[in-house]
Amino acid sequence: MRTVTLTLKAEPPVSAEAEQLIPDVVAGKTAEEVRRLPLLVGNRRETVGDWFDVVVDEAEAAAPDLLLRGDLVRFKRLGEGMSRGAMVVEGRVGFHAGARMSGGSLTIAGDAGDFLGAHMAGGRIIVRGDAGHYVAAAYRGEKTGMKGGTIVVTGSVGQMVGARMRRGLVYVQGDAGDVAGYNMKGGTVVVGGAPAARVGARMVRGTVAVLGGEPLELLPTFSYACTYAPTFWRVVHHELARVGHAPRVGPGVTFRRYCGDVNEGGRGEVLAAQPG
Amino acid sequence: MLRVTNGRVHDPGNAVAGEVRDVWLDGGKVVAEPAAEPADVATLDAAGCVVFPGGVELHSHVAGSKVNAGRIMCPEDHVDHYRCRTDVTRAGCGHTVPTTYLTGYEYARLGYTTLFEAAVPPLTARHAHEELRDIPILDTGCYTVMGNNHLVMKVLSDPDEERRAARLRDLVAWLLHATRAYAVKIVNPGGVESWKWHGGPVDLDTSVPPYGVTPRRILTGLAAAADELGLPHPVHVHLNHLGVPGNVAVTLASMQALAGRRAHFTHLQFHSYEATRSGSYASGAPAVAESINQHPEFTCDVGQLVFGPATTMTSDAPMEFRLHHLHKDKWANSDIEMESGAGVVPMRYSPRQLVNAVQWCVGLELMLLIRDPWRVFLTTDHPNAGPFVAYPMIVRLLMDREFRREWLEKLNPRVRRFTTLHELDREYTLDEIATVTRAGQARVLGLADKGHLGVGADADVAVYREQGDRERMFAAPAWVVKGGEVVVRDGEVVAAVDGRPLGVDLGDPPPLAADLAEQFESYSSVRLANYAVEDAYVPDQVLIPCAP
Ligand SMILES: [Zn+2]
Repeated sequence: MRTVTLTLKAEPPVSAEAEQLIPDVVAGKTAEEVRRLPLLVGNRRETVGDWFDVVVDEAEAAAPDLLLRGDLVRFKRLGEGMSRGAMVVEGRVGFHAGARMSGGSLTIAGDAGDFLGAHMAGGRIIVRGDAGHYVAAAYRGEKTGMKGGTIVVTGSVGQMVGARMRRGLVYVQGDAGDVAGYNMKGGTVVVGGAPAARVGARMVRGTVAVLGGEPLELLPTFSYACTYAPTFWRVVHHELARVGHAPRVGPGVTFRRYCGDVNEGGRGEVLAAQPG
Repeated sequence: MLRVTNGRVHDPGNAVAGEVRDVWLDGGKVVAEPAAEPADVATLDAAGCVVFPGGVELHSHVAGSKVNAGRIMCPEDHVDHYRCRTDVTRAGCGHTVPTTYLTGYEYARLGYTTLFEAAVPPLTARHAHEELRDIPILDTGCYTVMGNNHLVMKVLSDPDEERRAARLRDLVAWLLHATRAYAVKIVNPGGVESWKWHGGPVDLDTSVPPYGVTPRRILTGLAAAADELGLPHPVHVHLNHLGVPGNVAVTLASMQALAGRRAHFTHLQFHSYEATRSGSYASGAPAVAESINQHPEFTCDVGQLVFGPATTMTSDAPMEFRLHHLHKDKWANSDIEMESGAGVVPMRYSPRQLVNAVQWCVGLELMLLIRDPWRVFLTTDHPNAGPFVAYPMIVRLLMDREFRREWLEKLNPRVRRFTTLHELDREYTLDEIATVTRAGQARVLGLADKGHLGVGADADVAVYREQGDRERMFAAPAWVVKGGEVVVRDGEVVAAVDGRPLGVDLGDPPPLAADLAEQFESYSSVRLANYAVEDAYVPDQVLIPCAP
């Protein structure tokens, strides 16, 4: 098992675009080759070696393929488009982390910026911290956001989590900002705490499950349907437990189910976990 | 002085068909070979290349308010399509609706040097000219939409035939001059206005409120006015019922109505559908091609469909409304006061979609069935049927029937029941390609100095490296020369010169008639004094003479 370890030397004064820093690209490269990879810093084309100490060494089997250390809050597009391997960032990351990724795992020990996992198609993202707006969302003008995979955020997220998502699972252990599940077309968003205003606005299909329970500020275009213990929650619970983040409410919990958004056909649902 | 030497010259305007000869350029013009070798001559060695006149685009949507609306509402068109700046070019983005600068670079990179924006309502003409000025390298002009203009319809409602014709001629001259435009454009005559009054689609003899004129009268009246003014380009017509199965009937009837007059029919592909028994799409291309074949006074461009993303944008607002209801996705609409409408809807054409597959075949059928390449031109009605960057691929489809067959295999297989493309064996020659992409367009535009390489022509030249794969050949010219300067080398822009605005010389047209001026002042959102585009927006406009 080889691990490529990049340690940030100094924080750049402007944003950098680091879409080259994924396991797919660094796999099989020597330290010198990794140093020569391009890095767009501001409007200047620089290299990875200009900003990172690069070490390639043999490590135990559990070690990641790519390990980044340092406060990378100015680095955008980390893990973008990765399709395999394990990538770990020990520190904060900027916008678009894990966007368009299709496989592998991205673990961020720190906060993530906006558009985390946007247009994600597969794989797994774990954020031990908060994430910004538009987690798992579609980019501006696009019709569908996340299409597969799993995202877990142990903290809270900003607005529009899951906007226009089509498939996949997003679990926010903390709270979610306004309009969680905006215009969802499928998939599941689980909010461990409480969502802010207008949850599920323009939902076409899909599920927003709120574990923090009621009261929910629901739009008038959602209507109460029933109280039940859905089988699919057991599946979701099992999957989250498998990735090491089992929700504290159990697999057999009952939910109040609200259908909406009626303006879009009313086939989406917002579930509110019931105490007990 | 610049010499393009050793190349095989295809200059159909001067009946030069692939002869190896030199082309001499000096002072922005093609010149005769000097008697003695001049001292200060630069040479482009075009051995193994074909030498064409610079490309001429006569129907595209590249500037103005609806184009800008397309840019604003489609950020997804930009995210993966951007160009960083270079030493000579600015940054830009957009695939189906590129930014102004990128539009110029991309056209130049294909060998084009002249470009017309096909639909500008008078109220937005100033904006269109501002954007056209931003487009580098190419000479540009625009057409003014008049087919739903209240002043035009009011004049046409006059029962006195002679007075009607005279007043319309004056009004058309005034509108063209006020908008600094090049030609008269008609879009869905009467149909846009009818829609605004909650009326349905119009046929040729439907009376259109509020003036009770018919599309037939609008078509024939404006065609006659353009003729009598001697405009270099005839009326440029987007017919009624665009995109509707069975519209071949109104297309043929409109051609009948205009028989004997010069007229250009645009994006005919969208107007050449028979209806199947279930009301779906079948090709009407054979009948429409036959009509064009029989009428030497008509020209057309094809509006070839390109699979992939497109952005439909037209003054045909009711058509865009219908399109929006097909997918219920985003839609922009604009009511342009007493002049026109406009709509924008992004699209994606798929080869597996039977309707799209039929449309794709209809375009190629028209190109192959219309016999005279001087009267049918290659367009994609950019970006309506697809982006213009697909031209090299379409050229290959025209020149290579095996490539066409490969593509037919990828289409929805039912397409063979509704089209005849699979029966057509014709392959375009290089001369015919030169005709349908520049020579023919320049001729129907009345641009005597463009589209050919005779002495006195503008020094606009495109040199392509000869290769079997025509798509690759036409996608990256070895050199493109604009006004005597090399602007593209090996498919990359190396100099971003300024193009010139093109207009028509109408002399001093008579002022707007008093009753029309009063109507204008009563209902428009601008005063008449602020309406006309000022000279500053079209500096050094090249005025092409009229021949009344
Ligand atoms: Zn058009």
